[in-house]
Amino acid sequence: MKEQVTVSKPGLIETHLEAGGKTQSEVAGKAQPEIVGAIHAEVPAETPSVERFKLVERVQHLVLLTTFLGAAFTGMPLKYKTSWWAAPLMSTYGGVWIAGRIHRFFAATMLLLSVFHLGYLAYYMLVKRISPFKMPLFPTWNDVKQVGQNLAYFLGLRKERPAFTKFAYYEKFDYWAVFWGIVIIGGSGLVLWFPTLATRVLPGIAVNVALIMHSDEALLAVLAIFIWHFYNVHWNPDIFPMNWTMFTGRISLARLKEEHRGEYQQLVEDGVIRPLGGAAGHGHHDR
Amino acid sequence: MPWHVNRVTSPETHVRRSQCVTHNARRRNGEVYDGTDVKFITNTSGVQALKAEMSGTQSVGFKKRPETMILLGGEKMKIWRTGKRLLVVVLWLAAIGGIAAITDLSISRVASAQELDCFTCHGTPNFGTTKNFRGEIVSKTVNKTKFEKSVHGAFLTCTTCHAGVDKVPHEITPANLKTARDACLTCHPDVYDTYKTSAHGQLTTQNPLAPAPSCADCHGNHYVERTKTAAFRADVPRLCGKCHDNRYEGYLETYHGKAGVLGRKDVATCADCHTAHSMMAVSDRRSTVAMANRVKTCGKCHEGANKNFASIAIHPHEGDAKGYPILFWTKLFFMVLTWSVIAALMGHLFLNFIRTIVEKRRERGGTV
Ligand code: HEM
Repeated sequence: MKEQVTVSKPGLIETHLEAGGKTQSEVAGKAQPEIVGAIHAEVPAETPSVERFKLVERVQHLVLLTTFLGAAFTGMPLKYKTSWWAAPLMSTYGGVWIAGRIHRFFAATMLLLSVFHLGYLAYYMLVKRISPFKMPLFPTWNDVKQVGQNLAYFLGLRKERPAFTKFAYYEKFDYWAVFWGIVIIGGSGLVLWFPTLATRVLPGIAVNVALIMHSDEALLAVLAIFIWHFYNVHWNPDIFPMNWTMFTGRISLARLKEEHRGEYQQLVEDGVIRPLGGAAGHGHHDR
Repeated sequence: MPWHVNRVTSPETHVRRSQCVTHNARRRNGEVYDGTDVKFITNTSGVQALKAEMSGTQSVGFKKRPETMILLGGEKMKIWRTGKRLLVVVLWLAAIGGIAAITDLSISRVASAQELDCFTCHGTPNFGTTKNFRGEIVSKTVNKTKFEKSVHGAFLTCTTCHAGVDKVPHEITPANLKTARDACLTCHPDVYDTYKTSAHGQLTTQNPLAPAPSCADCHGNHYVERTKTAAFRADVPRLCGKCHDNRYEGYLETYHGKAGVLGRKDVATCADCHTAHSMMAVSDRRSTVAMANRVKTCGKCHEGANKNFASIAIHPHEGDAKGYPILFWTKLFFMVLTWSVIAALMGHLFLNFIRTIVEKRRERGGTV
C-alpha cells in the first residue's frame, strides 16, 4: 500500500482530534495541516504512518530515559546494600561516593528536564492558549469508562478494544505516574541532597521521611518501568521486540487503527489520512 | 638481651621468674642463669610506685641496671623528664640494637621463646574450652600466627596478661581470671580513666559481671587490632550492634549505615558521634550526643548543621509505630501504594497478555 501520508501538528499537546472535526491547530488559529511526504527512516517507506510525537517530545523522553536509568542504577545498590549485586555494582562506579555524584548528575539533569517540560506546557497554555483540559493527556471521564471496556475486551466479553483517542488511559497513567514520581522523588531527593539547607525550614524527621519516600517511590518507579512499561513497549507479543514510536516519532496507520481507533477515525473524518484498505486492520503490525 | 618490660598486676604480685623474658632468653641461650641480677618488685618503693600507677599518675620506666625493670614513683619520674632521659634512652636503644644484631636476637624472638611453652598446648586446634570470668564458655586455643600479627604479638607474652598462670597444671583462681580481664589498664591507664566515667565503665566498675563491655569485648583479647584502620572502623557498628542490635538495625536504614556497608569509609559510625571510651547517656549533659552538644557533634562532618538537622533520627525504626509514627505511616503508605499499583498493573498486563495470545491464534486460523 503506497500512500502519501499527511500529518498535522501532532504531539503531547496538539492533537488531530477536536470535537467538531477541527484540529487543534485550526482552533489555535493555525493553517491547515501541511502534507508531509518524507517518512522517517525507521519506518519502511511503503508503510503509511503519521507522526505521533514531535522531535522536542522525543528528545524529552530520551533524556528522561537516560537520567532515570542512570539514577536508578546508581541509587538502587544503596537501597539493597546487602544483596549480592550491590557491592560489585558500587565498585564498578568507583565507590559509594562517586556513585552519589553520578546519581546527582542524572538527578539534576532530570530536574532540569522537568522544569523544561513545565515550561513546555506553560508555553502551550499561555502563548498558544490551549486549555489544559483540551490536551490529549488530560484524564477524562471517558478514560474511566474505557478501563471497564478494555477489561471486558481482555476477558473476551467485547469483540473490540475501546475506541481509544490519542492517548489511552494506560498511556495517560504512564505520563501522570512519571509526573507524580518526579515530584516525590525529586522533592525528597533535594532534601537528601541538601539536608542542612532543608532543615532550616523542615524538622529533622523530614529528612528521615524523605529517605523513605525517595527509596520507596524509586522502587515503585523501577518496578513500574521494568514490568509494566517494558511489557507495553517491548514484551507484549504484538510489539516484541520494540515499539519504536517514541524514537521515530511515527506510528503506522495499521497500529493507529488498532490501538487508537478513535484517533484514526477522527483523522479519516478530518480528511487528514485516507482510510486503510479493509485487510490492513487486524494483525498488521508494521511500524 | 638486656631488658624487658614485664607487667605487674597488683602490688601483691611479683614478677615471676618464668615470666621474665630475660630469664627465659638466657635459658634459651643455654646459659645457666640464677636470676640474681634481676630485681623484682618486692620492695616498698616498688609497691608505692604501683599504687601510684593504679591511680594513673605515673608511668613505666627503668632503673640504673638495665636488666631490671621496675616501676618508678612520682618523685623519680621528674628526673626522667630531664633531657638526660632522652640521651640515656637513645644510648640504650643503640646498645640493644647492637647486641641484638650481634647475637641475632630480636625482642620478638625472645618473646616467642616463652610463648612456645604455652603454645605447645594452647596452640593446638581444639584444645578444649574453659569458662571466662563471666562464666561464658570460651575456647582455650590461641592461634599463634594470628596472635603474633596482632598489635601486642611483638612485645607481650602470655603471662604479661595471664599473670600468675605459670604452673602446669595451672592454678586458675578467681583472682587470676580477674587479672586477665584487667590486664589492659597497666599499659593503658589513660584510656581506662576515660572509660571508667563512661556509661559502660560505670557499670563494669560497679560490677564486673554487669552486661557492659570492657576492653576485650570490643578490642578482642588475643588478636587486638589497630583501631585506626579502615577495616576496624567499618566493623564498629557491628561490634556495638552485638548488644545494641536495635540501634544497629536502625542505623543500617540510614545513609550512614548503607554507605558504610557498601564500603564508604568516611561515613559516621557509632564512635564518631558517641565516642569510643566516654560514651554517655543522651540525658547526661557531658555526652557528645546530649541534645545541647549535638549540633557540634554533627558539625564535625556536616558544615552548617543546625538544631533541626541535629534532630534527624540517626537510628530510626520505620516499623516502630510508637517511636516513629511519622516514619511508620510514611512507610506504610508507600508499601500499600507500591504493591497495590504493581498488583493492578500486573493484573492488567496478564489479562492483556492472555487476550493478545488468543487473538494471535485466531488470526493464524487456529482454535482458541
Ligand atoms: C530527580 C532527582 C533526584 C535526586 C535529587 C536524587 C537524590 C538522591 C540523593 C541525595 C540520595 C542519597 C544518596 C546519596 O547521597 O548518594 C539518593 C538516593 C537514592 N536515589 Fe535518588 N535522586 C533523584 C532521582 C532518583 C531516581 C529517578 C531514582 C530511581 C528511580 C532514584 C533512586 C534512588 C535510590 C534507590 C536511592 C537510595 C535510597 C536508599 O537509601 O534506600 N533517585 N537520591
